[in-house]
Amino acid sequence: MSAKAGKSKSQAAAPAAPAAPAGPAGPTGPAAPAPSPWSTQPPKMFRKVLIANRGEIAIRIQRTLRELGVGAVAVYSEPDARASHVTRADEAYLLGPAEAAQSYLNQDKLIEIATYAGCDAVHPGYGFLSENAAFARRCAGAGLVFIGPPPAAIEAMGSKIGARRIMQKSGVPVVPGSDGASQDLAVIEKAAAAIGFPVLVKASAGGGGKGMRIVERAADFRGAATLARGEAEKAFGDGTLYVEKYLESPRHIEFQVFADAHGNCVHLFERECSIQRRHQKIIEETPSPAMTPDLRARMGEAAVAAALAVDYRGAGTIEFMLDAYGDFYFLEMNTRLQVEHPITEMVTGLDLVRLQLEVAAGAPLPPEALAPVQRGHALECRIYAEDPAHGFLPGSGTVQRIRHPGGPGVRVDGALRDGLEVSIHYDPMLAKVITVGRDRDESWLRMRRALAEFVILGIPTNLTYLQAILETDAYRRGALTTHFLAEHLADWKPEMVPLPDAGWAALALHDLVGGRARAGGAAADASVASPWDTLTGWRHAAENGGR
Amino acid sequence: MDRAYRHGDDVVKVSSRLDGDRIHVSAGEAARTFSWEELAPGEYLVRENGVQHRCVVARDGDERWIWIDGHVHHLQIASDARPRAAGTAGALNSPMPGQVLKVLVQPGDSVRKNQTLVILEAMKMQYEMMSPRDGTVAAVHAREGTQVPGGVALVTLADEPGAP
Repeated sequence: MSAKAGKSKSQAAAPAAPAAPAGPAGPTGPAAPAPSPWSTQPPKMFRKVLIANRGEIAIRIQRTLRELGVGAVAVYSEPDARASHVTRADEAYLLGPAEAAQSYLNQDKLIEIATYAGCDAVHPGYGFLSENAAFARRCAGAGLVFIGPPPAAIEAMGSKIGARRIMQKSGVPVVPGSDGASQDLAVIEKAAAAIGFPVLVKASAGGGGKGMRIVERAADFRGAATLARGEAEKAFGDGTLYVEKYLESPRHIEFQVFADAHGNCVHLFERECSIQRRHQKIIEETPSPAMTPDLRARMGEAAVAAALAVDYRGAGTIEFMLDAYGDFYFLEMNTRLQVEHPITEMVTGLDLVRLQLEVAAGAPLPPEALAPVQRGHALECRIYAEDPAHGFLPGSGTVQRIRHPGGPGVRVDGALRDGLEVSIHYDPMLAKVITVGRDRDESWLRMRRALAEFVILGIPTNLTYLQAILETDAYRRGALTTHFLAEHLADWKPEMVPLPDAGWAALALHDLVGGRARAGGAAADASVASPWDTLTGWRHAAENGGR
Repeated sequence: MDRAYRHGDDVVKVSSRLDGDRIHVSAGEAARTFSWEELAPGEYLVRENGVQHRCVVARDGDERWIWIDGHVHHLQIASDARPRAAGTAGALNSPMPGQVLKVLVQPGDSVRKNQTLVILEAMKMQYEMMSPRDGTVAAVHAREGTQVPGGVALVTLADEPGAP
């Protein structure tokens, strides 16, 4: 990386008129004189934050809160009562039954709990209510700081159709597509035909591959659009659709942006997320192998312009498609922390959750974020509970035994533990393995090592699939497109690896002596009860192996 | 202990005998002897001369999982008499646990091959369950809004006329 490439623009606008920092808003009192944004006082920080989420991201946020000495309040649905994000928190409160609408999307209950627990802010994580402007407003109304952008920015970008219009106005290129003005399927179908098949049918409120379908032929349009609409209505409560040209061999490249309340707006470089299955990202990396200093400067500038166009604040991501000719198009903006944010943290040395908290508390971005440096290369693999041997069907069940990878350059953000019940109700992502190295080759070597070291027994996972992707020549060369998996792994089947004799010995041992400690070994515990444990009668009683 | 394990498409017969800190194993081929140690519950160090493998093992009923040399293997104890096929023949079975989102047919409906009969939802994705053949719906077992385990009949098709 040349030093030049590493320098990003910090100042899109001159420091604006010092708006009153949106600090932890207590009940609105008499207007106090706004402290200077450049004061040397330590930034105000929250006392206690409610995390309106579950799983790995809730734990991720808790960790930063703990570092900053801020209380962490967890919430949970009935099946999540023993989940790791609950057991690790300082306080935990039940939301309701499994169904998201009655638990993690239950705004009344969340605000009631936050108020009861004496929180001064709410962190929504990703998914669930993270891009819900009404919830952000309700938080503010209840005297809680919503750790995210202003509601108006969420709304502007929450409608993909509206966002396209704003970008066009701001001179940011967009993919050719329909304007979504009419929601009559016949009209949308006509627009699709005008653009030319194949097209993507997308939910205006969508994300994460939900409410989205590729349509190859006019004949398939109605069925696909109906399904996409159904999914979108269920997931986002909004079935508004539009169509977009399906680009031939694009890369998915996104830019992390950050803005504070003091007129600073920066980007923290790109992430390439081209490796996607069913529009779900599974491997991400930064820097992108396709990036040049010139392209990075142009795309970064467009990303900052996009954020400024909606008066953004906090962490956001501008997603682009980069085509084979080096032209890029705005896809959408995610007005929240992304699943793949850790790779940006690994190459910039910044804690994005901490920056979110500081910005939300009214502090300006620190100098390290205003002039960020990109160092080394980071990779992320998402571990899903799905069975690559059986059409990637989701695999719920009990996690029997877990051993996490570690060591140099390896980070695991997850929510796994022995005895955990993975339910059918929520997203199948179990954990993220993140590696960082001095260059792409080293982060790749570390990822191979870390995936081989990761032991997850009891439920199917996509580990073998991730390993197979990493081993392809095309991946090693960095020749990535969003069609990568369809092109290189369409016929892939998990390889049948024979079990070595030592493995047969261990299997037999586990049935013969499992759970009884041997001299020199650790004491038996009941993390997963074996028949030998139950013989002793009392050990097994510890809640289903939960710890 | 003599046991047969199903490992992918193979069935492997394994004989083992525990002898203090040694275990003798034969899995089809020549018998081998390993020394062993339990490092933690379900975690074993298995040695032959200086060569060693750390193994992590778990079980649930007849299911077995083992991690060794960077690979996870999933096996089942093969109780020889029992055929493995789950679900009901001539029926559309649930391929995994999930929630029945929509039932699109009623008994008596005639359906085409690959027609969507039921929509299942699991882990936030919807799956269209399609008819395996042309036929007539004999019975609908799936009820909207209910949860189903894997391998149960959702819809049964009537026997094909003239089928053996």
